Amino acid sequence: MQSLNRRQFLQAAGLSGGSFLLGGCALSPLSDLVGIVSEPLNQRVEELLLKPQTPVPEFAIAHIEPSKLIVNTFGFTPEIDPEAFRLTIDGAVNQPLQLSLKEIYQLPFTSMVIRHVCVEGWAAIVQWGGVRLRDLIALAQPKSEVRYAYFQSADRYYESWDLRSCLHPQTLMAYQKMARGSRSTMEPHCGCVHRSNLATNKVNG
Amino acid sequence: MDTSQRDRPPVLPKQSLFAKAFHWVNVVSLSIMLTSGLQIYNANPVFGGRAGLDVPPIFLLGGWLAGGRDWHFFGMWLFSLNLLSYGGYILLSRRWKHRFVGSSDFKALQIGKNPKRKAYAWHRIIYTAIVPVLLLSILSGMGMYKPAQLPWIVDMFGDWQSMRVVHFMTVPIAIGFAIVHSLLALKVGGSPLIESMFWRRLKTEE
Repeated sequence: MQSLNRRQFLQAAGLSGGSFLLGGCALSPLSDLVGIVSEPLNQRVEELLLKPQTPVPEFAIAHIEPSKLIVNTFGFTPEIDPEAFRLTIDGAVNQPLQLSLKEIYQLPFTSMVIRHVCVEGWAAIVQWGGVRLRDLIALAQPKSEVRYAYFQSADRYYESWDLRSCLHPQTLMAYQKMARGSRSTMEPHCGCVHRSNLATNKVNG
Repeated sequence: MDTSQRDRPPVLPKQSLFAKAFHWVNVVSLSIMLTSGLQIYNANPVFGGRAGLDVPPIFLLGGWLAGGRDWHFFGMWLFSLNLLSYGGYILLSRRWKHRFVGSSDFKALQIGKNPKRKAYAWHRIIYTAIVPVLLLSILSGMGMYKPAQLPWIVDMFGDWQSMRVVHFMTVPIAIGFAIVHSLLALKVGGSPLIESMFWRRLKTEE
């Protein structure tokens, strides 16, 4: 899969909408610069604030807000064949791997009801079920110099995270959402992420 | 505007360099915070969500959601450190004792006869009242910025949407404040007072 870099993405975004066109073109290089200048400082503060193993508050199942969760896809909604799906973890790892959904389901299952906060500003209390990212990372055995994980999803969205956040006990590779009862009622929503790349440098995203 | 003509030239108000710097940084940083904040707002309007009304692009900064966030998380340093240094300044210079609204202002409004003193009392009420509003914008913003680390802030506001509304409401309040504050300053001290807050007047008033 071909990944877009930030600038190509901005160009595409600029072409795709009238409001983007007006606001996007003139200021985007400057906005990029502002991000490049302030992001390292913000990240350092984030590291100070991060409590690596302190859990975030969990809620009762009754508090789930199904109507508030907005399903966002980037550009298009991918159709994933559960049989053909493979989660690829590679990059700076000793044990690159590909997992089928069946194999993922066999890994220890974690379910939680937490506040899902979107970068867009909205939030919803959501149940997520899936595999702890730390279990997947343990399988892949990242090299000692690894600091970030880079994710690519089936809808071509991408994101990069620092490794300490990925190792948090509540960081999930989720394949279930909004389950209110026992596991028999669970509807698998296979993870959007289909490739995870461990790297030493933060990928601009 | 000022009809009273005096023979001697009026005493021009002087401001400390700090007061000027504070005003400048405030104007710049608040403009960044407001416009980039409205850019983020448009990704999912606080009122109405996807169906809500968008803010027109002319008022936005950043071009798209991530650009708006970059600006917002850059401007927050200017804005909050400026406010913090203001707090330190009024504390150390002991200005907090006489610069903010006090009982004398309420007395002037209730039983006073001097219209200038009354305008001054309003002026002090307004610029005192904006301080907690600005602090609230920082508090609600921190709750939104780091909800995983600072969940107690979200709890303080009750729920997420209330916190979002409070954070957003600081935008119209700050804009309203800027207008009322300027008008009252104009009423209290005329343009020499306003100008003294931003630069030193080179020419004296005739």
